[in-house]
Amino acid sequence: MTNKKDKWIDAVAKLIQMTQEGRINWISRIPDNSLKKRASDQIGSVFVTSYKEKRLRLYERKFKYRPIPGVVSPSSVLLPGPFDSDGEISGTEVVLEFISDDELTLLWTFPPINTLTDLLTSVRYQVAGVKDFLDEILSDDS
Amino acid sequence: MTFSDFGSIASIISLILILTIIRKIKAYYLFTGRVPDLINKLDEVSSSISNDMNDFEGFSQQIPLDLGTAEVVLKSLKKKLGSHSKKSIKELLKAIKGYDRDKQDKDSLYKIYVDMTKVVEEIKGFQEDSKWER
Repeated sequence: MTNKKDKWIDAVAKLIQMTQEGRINWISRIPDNSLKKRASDQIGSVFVTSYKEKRLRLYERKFKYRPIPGVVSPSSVLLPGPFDSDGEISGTEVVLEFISDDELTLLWTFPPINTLTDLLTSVRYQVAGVKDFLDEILSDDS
Repeated sequence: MTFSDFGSIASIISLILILTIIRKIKAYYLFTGRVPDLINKLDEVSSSISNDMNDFEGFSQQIPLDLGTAEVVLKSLKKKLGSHSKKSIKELLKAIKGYDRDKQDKDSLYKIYVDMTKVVEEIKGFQEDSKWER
């Protein structure tokens, strides 16, 4: 059965593969408050890369929400306005966007799919240089 | 035909209908009960496979373990799902069985990862839909 999300999964999986093979390289950016949807949001690591003259931005957004009784998919529900401290639940989403070359304008956002979390893991792995660190430390005799 | 014969036929039809309804209710509760845990487990395994590929040679010993876990979860899922998802699970199980653990071909593993993720998304979609079936 073909799912319309399949194309996005293929695209993000390809980004993961290209990141892991070093065919695209990401750089980190300081988290920007303009990425928040609400003042209470927390923006985690932000990374950008270029692929064939397209600029991509990847980041993690932590948010809080109060679930509506009877709504079984709280990840799709964000209540407007300020939150009470009672009954709040924390959530996290990974966002992949097309942005302008000057990184100031959001052009388009990928739909939310699980593979974005795996992409973020791979990007962090690359940017932190984990593979090289492991190779060096494991071969260090001192 | 007598009234008694009609009565017997009606009883048989009622029994078949009741058994069909019971089967559907059982399938619904099996689906909503066990499937969410299994699909979360499969999601974890697919992420682990993706993580292994950050250092393919370094994590080469972990890959067969993850594939083994995926096989077990997929076989369990196959028993609890309707025909709509069984086909994609069967094909994924075939791909996992066909993966050469000695040769360890990266492209094959990427394909398995992608197909696994698609199965997760597909079943999560059915889960969302089934919440409206109560």
